[in-house]
Amino acid sequence: MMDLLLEAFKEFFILENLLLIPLALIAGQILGAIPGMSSIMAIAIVIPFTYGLSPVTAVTLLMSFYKGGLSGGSIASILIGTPGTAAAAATSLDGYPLAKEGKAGKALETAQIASALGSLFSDILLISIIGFMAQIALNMTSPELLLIVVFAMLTVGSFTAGNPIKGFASALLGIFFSLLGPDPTTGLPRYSFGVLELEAKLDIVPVLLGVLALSEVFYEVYYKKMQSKEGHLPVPKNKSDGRMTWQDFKDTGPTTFQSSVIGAFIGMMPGLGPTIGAFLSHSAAKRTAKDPEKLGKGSLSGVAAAEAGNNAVAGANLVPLFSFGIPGDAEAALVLSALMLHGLTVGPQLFVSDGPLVYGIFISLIVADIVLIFLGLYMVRYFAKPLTKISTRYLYPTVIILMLAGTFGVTRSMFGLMVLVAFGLIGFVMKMNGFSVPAFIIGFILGAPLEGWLQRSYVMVKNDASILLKPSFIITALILIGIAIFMKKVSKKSVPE
Amino acid sequence: MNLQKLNASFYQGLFLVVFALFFIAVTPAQIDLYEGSDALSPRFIPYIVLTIIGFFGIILILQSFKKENVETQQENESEEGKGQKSLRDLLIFIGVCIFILLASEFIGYTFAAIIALIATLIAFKVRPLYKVILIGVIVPILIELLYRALEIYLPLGFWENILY
Repeated sequence: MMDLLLEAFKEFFILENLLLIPLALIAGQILGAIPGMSSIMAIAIVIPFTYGLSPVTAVTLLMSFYKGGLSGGSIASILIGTPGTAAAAATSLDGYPLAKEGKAGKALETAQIASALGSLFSDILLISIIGFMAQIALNMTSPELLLIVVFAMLTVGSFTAGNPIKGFASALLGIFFSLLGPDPTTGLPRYSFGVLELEAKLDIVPVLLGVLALSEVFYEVYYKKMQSKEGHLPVPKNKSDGRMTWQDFKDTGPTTFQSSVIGAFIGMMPGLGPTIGAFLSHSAAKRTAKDPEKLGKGSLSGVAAAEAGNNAVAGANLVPLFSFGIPGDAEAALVLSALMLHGLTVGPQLFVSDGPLVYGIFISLIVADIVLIFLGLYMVRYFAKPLTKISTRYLYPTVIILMLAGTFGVTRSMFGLMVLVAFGLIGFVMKMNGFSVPAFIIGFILGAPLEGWLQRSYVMVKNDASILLKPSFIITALILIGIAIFMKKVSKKSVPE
Repeated sequence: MNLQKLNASFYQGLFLVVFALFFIAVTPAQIDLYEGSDALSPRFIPYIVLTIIGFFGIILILQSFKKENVETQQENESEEGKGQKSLRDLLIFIGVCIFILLASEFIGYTFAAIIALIATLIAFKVRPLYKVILIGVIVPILIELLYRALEIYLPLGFWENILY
C-alpha cells in the first residue's frame, strides 16, 4: 500500500497539476457564480481540453472545476436568491434572507467553508472505502454485476424524474441509443440505416455534451433566463456581519459534520445526487441545529447544512464509479467520459492495472479541497458581487462556440458535431417533457456493460443454472433490496417543502 | 372523448409507443441474425428494450386519462404559462449550431463562428457595436489559437488553400 501511495504521489505532484488546481477552482467558481451557468456546463466546456493531458491531470482539472462550480453556485444563491441549479436552491433558503439582513459576507464565507469541509470529508471517505469496494467488485461474477447495473438503472430511473415511469423510460432510451453500432458478439452493425458513421458506436463525448450541456443552454434560453439580476443588498451593520467569526464556525461545526456524513452517503447511491443531499441535510439540521426555529428564514446553520450536504456528494459519487464503473450522476458520467477519452476502462480492474493513477486522482481531490478553503474565502471577499452581474447574453453564445469546437477536437469529424446538436435537441425535448436526462445518460453509459454481462450470464446460466443459488448472488440481491428500501425512505424525507 | 382534456402525458406516451413500434418494425432489416452462436440473438436486447419502452408509453397514455392527472397538468400549464418563454431566442441558438455545422467545411470553423457570434450578439441587442465586434472576433480567434496550441486543428474550409 505504501509503495502504491508513493507512486500515486509521484503521479500527482507535478507542476502541471499544482498549477491547474487553483486555476480550475477559480474558473469553476467564476462560472458557478454566474446565474444560469451550471457546473455541468462548466465541466462540459473543459472536457475537450483534457484530451492532450495525462489522465490524472485531466481528472484533476475536471474535479477542480466541478468543486469550484459547486461552491461558486452558492454565491448567486446567497446574493441574488436565484440558484443556478436545484442543488443550490437549499442554500438560498437561508442564504438570501441573511444577505437581506446585511450578512451576505458572513453567509458567503460560511458557505465556502462548509462546501470545502463537506467535500474534504467525502473525499477522505472515498479513499478509505474505495479499495475495499473494488476488492468486492473484483470477486463478483457476471450475474452479480448484471444485478448491480440493473439496480443502478432502476434507482436512477425512479429518483431522477417526477414520474418514475418517465425515469425508467429515459434510462431505456439511453440503453437503446447505446445499442447503435456493432453487436458485441457478432460485430454486425445495428440500426445503421446505411449510414457509414452509424456502423460504429456513438461517441460518448458528443452524446454527453449534447444531452447534458447543450440542451441546458437551449432550455435556459427558451425560458428567458438570459439576463442576470443585480442584487440590491444592505451593507453590513458591523464588521462581524461581513465575516464568519470563530464563534460562527463553532456553532455551525456540528451541522457541517452531520451534513457531510449525510451528503457522502447520498453520493454513494446512484441517482440521488446533490439536490437530495442538500435538502436532506437541511431538513436534518432543522431537528438538530442550535437555532431550529430560524432555519429557512436566515440561519447560518441552514447555509452550512445545505452547502456541506451538497458538496459532500461530489467525492462520494466516485465510489460507485471507480468500484463498479457505475456513474452516480451526470457529473460522474462526465468524469467517466474524460477517462474513456484516454482509453481507460473505469471499474475495479483499474485498481489492478493503474493503481497509482487512481490514487493520484484521489490525492488531487484532497489537495483541491484544501486549496478551495483559502481560495474560496478570497474569491467571495473580493469578487463575489461583480460575478453575479455578468450577463449570460455574452456567455451562452460563447459556450456554444466552445462546445462545438471542443467536440470537433475530440471526434475530429463533422459527424461528431451533428451528434452533439441532435442530442442537444433530444435533451431539450426530454427536459421540456419531464423526462430524466441523468437517467438517459446512465442508461447510455451502462448499456454496453449491461449487454455484455447479460450475454455472459446467459451462457453461464445455460451451462449451470445453479449459479443463481450461489450465496454471493443471493447476498448481493438482498443487499440491493435493502439499499432500495433505504433510498426510498431517504428520498421521501428530502422532498423540499 | 374531449381532446382538449388530453394532457401532455398522452402525447409523451404516444411518442414512446410510436418510437418503439417503428424500431421493432425495422429491426429485422437493420440487425442480421448470426447462426451458430451460444449467446443471445443480436435482436434479443433491442426487442426487450423497445418492448418495455412501448409498455411504458402505454402506461403514460393510461395515466393521462386519470382525472387527477388532467387537473394537475392543467394547473402546471397555467403555472408555467406565467413564466416568459422565447421560441425566437431558442431558434436563434439552434440556427447558430446548424449554421456552424453546415458552413465550417466551406468557410472554416473560426470564420463561421465569428459570423454566428456577431449575429447572435446583435440579435440579443448587445450594444455598443464595438463590443459586439470585439467579442465576436476575439473569442473565436482565441479558441482557434488555444486548440492549435493543443495540436487540434479545426476545419479551415477555403482558407486552407490560401494559408497553405
